[in-house]
Amino acid sequence: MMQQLFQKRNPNTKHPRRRTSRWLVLAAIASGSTALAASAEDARWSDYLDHAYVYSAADADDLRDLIRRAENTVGTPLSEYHAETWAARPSLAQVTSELEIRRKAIAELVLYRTGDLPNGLELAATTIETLADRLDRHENRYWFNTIHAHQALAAGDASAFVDEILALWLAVITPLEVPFETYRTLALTENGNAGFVRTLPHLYESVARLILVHSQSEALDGDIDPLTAIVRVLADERVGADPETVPVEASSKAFLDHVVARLDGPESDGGSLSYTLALVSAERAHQLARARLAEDGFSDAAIAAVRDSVAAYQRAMRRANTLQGQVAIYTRALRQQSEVFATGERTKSAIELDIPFSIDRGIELYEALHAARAGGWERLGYLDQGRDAYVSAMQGLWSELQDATFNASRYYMSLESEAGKIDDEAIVHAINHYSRYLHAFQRFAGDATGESLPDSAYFGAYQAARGIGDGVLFFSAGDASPEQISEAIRQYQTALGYFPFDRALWGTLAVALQRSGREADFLAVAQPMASRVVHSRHLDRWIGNQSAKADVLEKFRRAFANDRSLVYFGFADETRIGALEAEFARLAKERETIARSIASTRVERDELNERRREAHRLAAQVSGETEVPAPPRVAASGRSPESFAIEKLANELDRLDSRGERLDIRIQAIEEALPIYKATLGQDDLIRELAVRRDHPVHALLRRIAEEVGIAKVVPSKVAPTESAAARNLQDWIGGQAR
Amino acid sequence: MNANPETKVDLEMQPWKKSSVRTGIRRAPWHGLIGMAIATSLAASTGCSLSKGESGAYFERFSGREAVESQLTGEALAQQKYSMRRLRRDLASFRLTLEQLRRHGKDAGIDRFELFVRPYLETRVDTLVDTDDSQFHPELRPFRAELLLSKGVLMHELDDRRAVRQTIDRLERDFASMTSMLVLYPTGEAVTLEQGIALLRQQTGEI
Repeated sequence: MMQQLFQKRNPNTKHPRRRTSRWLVLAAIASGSTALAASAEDARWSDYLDHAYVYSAADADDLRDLIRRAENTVGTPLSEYHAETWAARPSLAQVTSELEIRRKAIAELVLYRTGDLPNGLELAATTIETLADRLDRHENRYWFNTIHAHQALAAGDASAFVDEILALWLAVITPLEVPFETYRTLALTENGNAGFVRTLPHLYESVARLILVHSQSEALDGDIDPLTAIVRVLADERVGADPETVPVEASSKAFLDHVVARLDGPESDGGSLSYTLALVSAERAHQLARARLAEDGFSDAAIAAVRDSVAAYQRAMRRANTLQGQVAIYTRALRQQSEVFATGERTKSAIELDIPFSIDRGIELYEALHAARAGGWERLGYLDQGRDAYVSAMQGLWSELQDATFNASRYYMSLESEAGKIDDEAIVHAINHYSRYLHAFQRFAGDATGESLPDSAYFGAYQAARGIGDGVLFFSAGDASPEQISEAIRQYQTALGYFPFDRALWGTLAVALQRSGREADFLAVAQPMASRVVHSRHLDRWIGNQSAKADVLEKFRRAFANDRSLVYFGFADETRIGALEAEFARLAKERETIARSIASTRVERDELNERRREAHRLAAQVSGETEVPAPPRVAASGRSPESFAIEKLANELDRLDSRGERLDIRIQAIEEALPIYKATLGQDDLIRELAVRRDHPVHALLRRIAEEVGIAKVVPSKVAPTESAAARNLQDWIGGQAR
Repeated sequence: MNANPETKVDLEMQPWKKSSVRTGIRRAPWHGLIGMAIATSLAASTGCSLSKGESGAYFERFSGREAVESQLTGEALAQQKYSMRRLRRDLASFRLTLEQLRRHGKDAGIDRFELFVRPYLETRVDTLVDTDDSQFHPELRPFRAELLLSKGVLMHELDDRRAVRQTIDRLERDFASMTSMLVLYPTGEAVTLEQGIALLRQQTGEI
């Protein structure tokens, strides 16, 4: 019935089964059953204030909600109660009772936190100061330090905040701990007259919230590192250790444990609490901004959220003392930059946000990490977490640099002018991003330990080089100069050197060669790259071990081993495979026709030969030449018609044979190469998978292949046009079908 | 699980919202005040001490406290072990914080923390280790030695060489006959006390 009554009072309650309702009902019952001498109204608020240690450290919104509900129950607003009970009295001297002074101070603190009494904090401090000579009582001391801690937070005075919390711990918590354990052993915390001692679990919770939550919600931008010890101690069987009083799921234990794990984790700042809280707070803001960008694009709310997040990262940056800390922030800030660029590309909107975390600075940080790999990495902050954490941070930063680079580049390449063309200035920005990445990659790659860069960086090098090539070809509305085309060709070669399994890129390379009049060079350019794949020991083992995507890679290796199928990579139009097959059928039919012609011509020639021999025999018989030996002939007689016909047929046979042989070569080439090439079709998923999965196992293979060859050899030198045998073959094989 | 329906509801009545600590967990509704119902019913007695009885009592007073504790030796011992273990871990947290403040060169932070640590040691550690050894349960002696080792390391972090020497002297004097006792050194290694003292000397340079 009480619950029904409550629901009537709160018709807008969205969740009628909320536990809060039950609390209020029970609180009302409990307070109603409390026989107090004072009026019912006083008794209720005094009860609430006497037990304020339970709720006073709640978040402002939650506290406001609680007080509103309590006001509904009590029937009088707290501010009114405060005014009626104490404000009418001109001086505190008239508030004689220690208990009453404490209640007044608590009421003022609560009203300040709910926003009902803007000067409540000063009032609370003034009120509690009057108990300065009664701080021997733990309850007084607790509120004294708590109110002053709130004052320090409001003033942004980190040192004072630290002092108040340490004093509270020393003077209140420490003396209560031993008796609390004794009482708990004797089950007196629940059932006996344990007094303020039994509030200890709430005090732990409140102190934890003051340090972890309020310091951040009040944007305390100062050094509170001495409180690290208190945070660690709170996490040690204190917060969340008394689930009957404060259920674990309702306590700050999860957050506390998270913070302690971060203090000790690889993204710490040498164990700095100030830094860790600032970073965790920034991450929270980042999550909000990410969700807003994903849902609303560049709405005002999303832009504001991104700005909040950036400001929070800047605050964390100010708190970072080590490179370890700075790297952890940059890793996240670059991720945010990636998200902003990706949103710009997705929504086709211009980015009007200034993010003061640059890729250039990120590369500088990476360089500083990289420089310490042979020694001194511990001094960068990774002393406690070890070399694995250092390497992981270095690779993690690179991954974010890579993503930020490519997202930025894709964003620029997506910008279109009013005419629907890609703007040259945007292309330049994109190329510059790709170039910076590639340049940095080539500086840092090739480490013998293989630990400087993540495996996915090698695929990134392919993406960057390809991006530069594409950008160059798109420049000036596709009207690239010969030098630009040469540069595009060089970049495509580089890209294929790092990732030769992009079938379409071979075609693009061939097109670029055609545009510079060098299509005949295709094989000369392609063969060295293909050869590296064919002769790679790592790839051989990979395929032999049936590792990830071994079937796909084997198809490519077979194709690269065959010059003819390599030509298909460059010049075949995969959308017209049917036409190629039809051409193959036509050639085969033509070869059959020729074979038949050869056969019939031979028969005809043989018949003519036979006829001629018979005619000669008969002529000899008639002339008696067979009886008397013939004298030597001085001059040949005139040629017979058969002789002319035979000669003609012989010529025809020679022509047919030659044509047949040539057809045989073409048929054999197509017969051999086309199925190999066809096998590589439809394998483009590999590129997509590698682009979205940093941990794809094939990334490791790409690194090994590049290292096997040597990074310097992957990057091509300029190839002079040559007329090679391969080029001549090329013209033969493609039979004039080049695109 | 709990037969008392009021108590069951009490457990749900928390003011701490899960979301309010921003752990990324979904925002949970307001839980209510902790133990408010019970607390309210106890309100009248909050802060009150146990009744001392009438001052003019006829009977001579015999405190039952010691008798009760002697009957609960097992539980009391377990509680003391628990407290001393936790105290040792607290000191380890203090040491780690001091070490990290030092690594960052935060002298002001060290000074501020020292103002906390010294009185803390006086009230929590010294009172325990100063207790007459005969009152110590034999099983608590290793903990007592461990607290002294922790104090020695902390004093070293505070650059107080005199206090380090005093602590080492104390260890050697109080535990002269128990140097083969197994203890946990503050860094977490299980060693004999003799080895622990040697480690402390080595770590602090008091060789």
